[in-house]
Amino acid sequence: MDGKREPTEKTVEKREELELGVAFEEESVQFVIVTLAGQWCAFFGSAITSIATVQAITPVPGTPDCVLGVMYYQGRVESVLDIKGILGIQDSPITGKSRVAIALSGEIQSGILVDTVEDVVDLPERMIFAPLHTMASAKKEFVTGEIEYRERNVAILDLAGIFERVLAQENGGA
Amino acid sequence: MTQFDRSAFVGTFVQEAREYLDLLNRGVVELEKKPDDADLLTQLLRAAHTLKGSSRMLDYLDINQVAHAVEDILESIRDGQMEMSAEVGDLFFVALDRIGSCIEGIAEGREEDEDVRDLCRSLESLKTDAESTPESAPESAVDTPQTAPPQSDRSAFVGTFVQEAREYLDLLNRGVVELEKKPDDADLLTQLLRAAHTLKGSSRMLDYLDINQVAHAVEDILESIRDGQMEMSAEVGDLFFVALDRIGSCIEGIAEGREEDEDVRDLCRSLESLKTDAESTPEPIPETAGDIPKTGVTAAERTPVEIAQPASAKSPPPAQSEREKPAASAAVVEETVRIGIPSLDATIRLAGEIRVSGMRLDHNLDELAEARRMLRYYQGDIERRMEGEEGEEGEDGHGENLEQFCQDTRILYAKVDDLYRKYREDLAGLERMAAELQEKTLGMRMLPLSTLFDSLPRAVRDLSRASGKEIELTIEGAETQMDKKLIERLGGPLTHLVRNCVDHGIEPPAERQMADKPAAGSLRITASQEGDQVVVVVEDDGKGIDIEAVGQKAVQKGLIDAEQLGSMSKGEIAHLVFLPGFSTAPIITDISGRGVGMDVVKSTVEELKGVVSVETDRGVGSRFSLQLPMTLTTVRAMLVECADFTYAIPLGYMTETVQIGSEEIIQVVDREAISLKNEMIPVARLSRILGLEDSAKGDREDDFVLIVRSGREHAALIVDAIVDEQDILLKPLPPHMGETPCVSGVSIFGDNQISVVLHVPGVVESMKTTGSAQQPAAERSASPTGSLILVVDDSLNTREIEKSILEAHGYEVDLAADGVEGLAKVKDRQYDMIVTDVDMPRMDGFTLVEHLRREAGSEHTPIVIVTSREKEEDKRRGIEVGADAYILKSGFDQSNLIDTIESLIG
Repeated sequence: MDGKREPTEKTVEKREELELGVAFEEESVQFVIVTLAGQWCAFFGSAITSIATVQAITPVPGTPDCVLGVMYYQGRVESVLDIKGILGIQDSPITGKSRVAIALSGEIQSGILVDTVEDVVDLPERMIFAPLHTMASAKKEFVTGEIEYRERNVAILDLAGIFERVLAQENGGA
Repeated sequence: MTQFDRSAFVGTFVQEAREYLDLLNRGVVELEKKPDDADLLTQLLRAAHTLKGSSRMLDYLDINQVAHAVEDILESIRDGQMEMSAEVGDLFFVALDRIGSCIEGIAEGREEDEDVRDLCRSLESLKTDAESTPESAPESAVDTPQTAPPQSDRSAFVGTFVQEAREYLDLLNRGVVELEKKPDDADLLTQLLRAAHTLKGSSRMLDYLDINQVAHAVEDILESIRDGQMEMSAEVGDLFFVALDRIGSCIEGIAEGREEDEDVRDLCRSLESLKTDAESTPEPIPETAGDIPKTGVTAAERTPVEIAQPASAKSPPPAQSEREKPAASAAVVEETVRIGIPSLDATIRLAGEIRVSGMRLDHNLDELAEARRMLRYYQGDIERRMEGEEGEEGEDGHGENLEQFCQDTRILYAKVDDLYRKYREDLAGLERMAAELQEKTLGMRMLPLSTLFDSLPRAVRDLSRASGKEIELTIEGAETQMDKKLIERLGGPLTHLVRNCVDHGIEPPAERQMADKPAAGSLRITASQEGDQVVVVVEDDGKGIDIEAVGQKAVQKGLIDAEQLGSMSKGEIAHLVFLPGFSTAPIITDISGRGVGMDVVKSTVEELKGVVSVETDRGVGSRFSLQLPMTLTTVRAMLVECADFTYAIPLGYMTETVQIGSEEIIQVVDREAISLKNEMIPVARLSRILGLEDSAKGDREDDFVLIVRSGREHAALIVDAIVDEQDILLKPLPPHMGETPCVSGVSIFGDNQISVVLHVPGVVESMKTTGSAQQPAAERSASPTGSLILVVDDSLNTREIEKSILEAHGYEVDLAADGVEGLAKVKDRQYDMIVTDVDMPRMDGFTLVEHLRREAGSEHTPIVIVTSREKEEDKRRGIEVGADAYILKSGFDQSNLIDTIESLIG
């Protein structure tokens, strides 16, 4: 069952450390775990300000394909991005489980359309690994690391890099 | 030593200082024309004095010193010791510019680093040179009685004085309460001293002597406390409050337009005795009539720097450390808008009414809940009856109950009906109030264009002196209101256009006289409101734009090629001046000619969702027109449906809506057009321009078409439906989405749906690159025929359309915007054919044909009239004046035009 987790070697180690009192003080990091066309990805929790249900999205003429349009959310006009194309992930339809994660990186705030929001978890820093070399190259460019969640390797997405690419496209670039 | 926290006052200071500086700039221009205008001099003196005082108050010593020097010279002029001259005017403006740069530095949070000593010396020497008896120089240390203006002329400053005085009084009231708790708080004492001092100074300046005397007495006591000669006590506090209340009543008297009639002598004596009692060695009481420095500093001892500081042993100047403005005190000034109390009151009243209305709705909700409860009961009752009906007989009882039931439901209906009416009434009221509130709050952002235009007389005066040209400036429509944000951005483009007219447009006096023009050139700036758009026009009566030079320069710079130039009309060539890097000035001057600016004018105006256009006539002048929205926050718009989405189109860009059948669409090479009121207007589906999927047209035969205007161009946009017309609030797109050419922003509707607000100039531009793409490209490429055709039509759209048809069939095309231009072109060049409209300004088509038939060289040139005049008599006239063919714009068919041309010239 999904909710029941088999302890991995690392989590067993971690538990032992805690029980034995040998663990040193370690910062934990929050992640928002989402899926995009069946692929599991994560954003740093600090970058996601809120998660919204999908409201009516109005397309804006003259914007690149990755900008789905704008949506009214809590008194603001938020842009909504579909980043699957940028990550080289196949398209997927909007369903009842789809959500818009309102993300903030640097000066840019925008909603990101995701197929599902799976969880919001706090993990110790040392549970973050370098990304696997075998990852698809388009996606790899925007992955800063990986975490393990429910026996899966989950790619941590580089929001700043993604926004940079969106900006480049908006300015007529790649 | 203590450091005064001036940050709270910086915003007000900057705003006021700008106003006084504007007043001085305008006033000095006036003073040059009317050097003997005593009222004007008094006004200027006041402004300089106030600037001096307020800058001193906040330790902006550079401004203080320069303002002081300016004030000195103005005094000398007023007292007849100096004469106003161009030289004096120039130096005044140098001084005012320096003050201006200091003010802007403060506004941006930069510390002043201007060295004004040289400037002050120059101003001083100007005065010294002029004065025959230097010892007669007025003692202008600080707040000297001589600077007090006559009472009759202070009205312009009363509002500001009352506002400031109230603020300082509040500060004093709060501060004295604090001082009672913390009698040793040196910072607080310094603040209170400053407030009392300023109140004393400003009241003296406007001759409010009662306030002046009381404030002076309060200041004296505060000084004694600070210097340890007195102690703060409850008794002192009480007397302070009596004094402050007295000042307060005087201020309110002034605010209500009553003259002061307070006798403050007793109060001042009480305050004085308090001090005398406390001091072990009583000193002479300072004179209350004025603010004379307590030590005799003579004019000879005075230096420009020293005079800013009252030399008093008892009230030493702030310590050096205080004057070295700490970086921490430099703050970026928050933008402010002044709002009149009546306007604010009305807004508060409306907010209150809306709140009450909300409470009424709340009450209605209770009644609705009651009705719901009743309905629920009846529903249950019906269900019970139905169950009973199945189970038992008993018609009599049932009938009686049914009657009761009917009666109850009638009551329920009446209740619900009453609720509906109340709700509808409340909603109508709420909507009206919300609309009024919106209008009022938006109005708070609106300012008259005079805030921008007021600086122009000074700018034009400087430019005319620098260029040696005489210029008569006329400003009209300065009261036209516009959004503060837009006015701020408009300053740059407007100044550039003015500079451009002075430098390139208006000729030097000698040249003008040779051209039978008055020596002084005319520069006219007008503003007017057209719907929710503001049109600002800058026009001169100078030499006009040298179209030929512009064309050549554009080709030289590679901005266009020679072929393109040949096919452009005069007006189109004139518009080339807005291209980046364009300049025809043979030399670069301080004023203009650097090849930057006109493109910035265009880009800034476009950023503000406006349009810029130019019209010029050689030897007669140029006219630059800026069409801008009145505000960027609210706009009246037409809501249209297109590809299943609703778009808003600002009404300011719309001329009309029409319905057209598909047979009315004219095929023009690779695009389409419609003929409307003597003009052929390119037409396209909005969905295609915006890159959207076309939606099904349904059974409708006709299309809804919006005719929009962007500068001089018209365009027709086909939409799926016209939904509504309403005022919308314009919200910007998220910042990262940047500038999208076809989009002004978005608007949110009641159901939280977002609609995109279109930027019409961007849509019209995009339309040019979209095309209908219905015609195969092969049809366009025709081999050159070698024939040259002149197209004469005042409509840019029609010219362009006819040109593209003719070029697509291998003809070379030249354009003219009216009969006069057409005739001039025919004199310069031999054409194989002329295609002309009839209704045109300056010279109509019939007259043109008549002239051409009389002109040697064109008497046999084939002429085709293309017009919307359908009457037989017009056709007859066309043939009579000598046209070879007469084609109607309605039902225009490009193949008909081409067939006609081919039959005439082969």
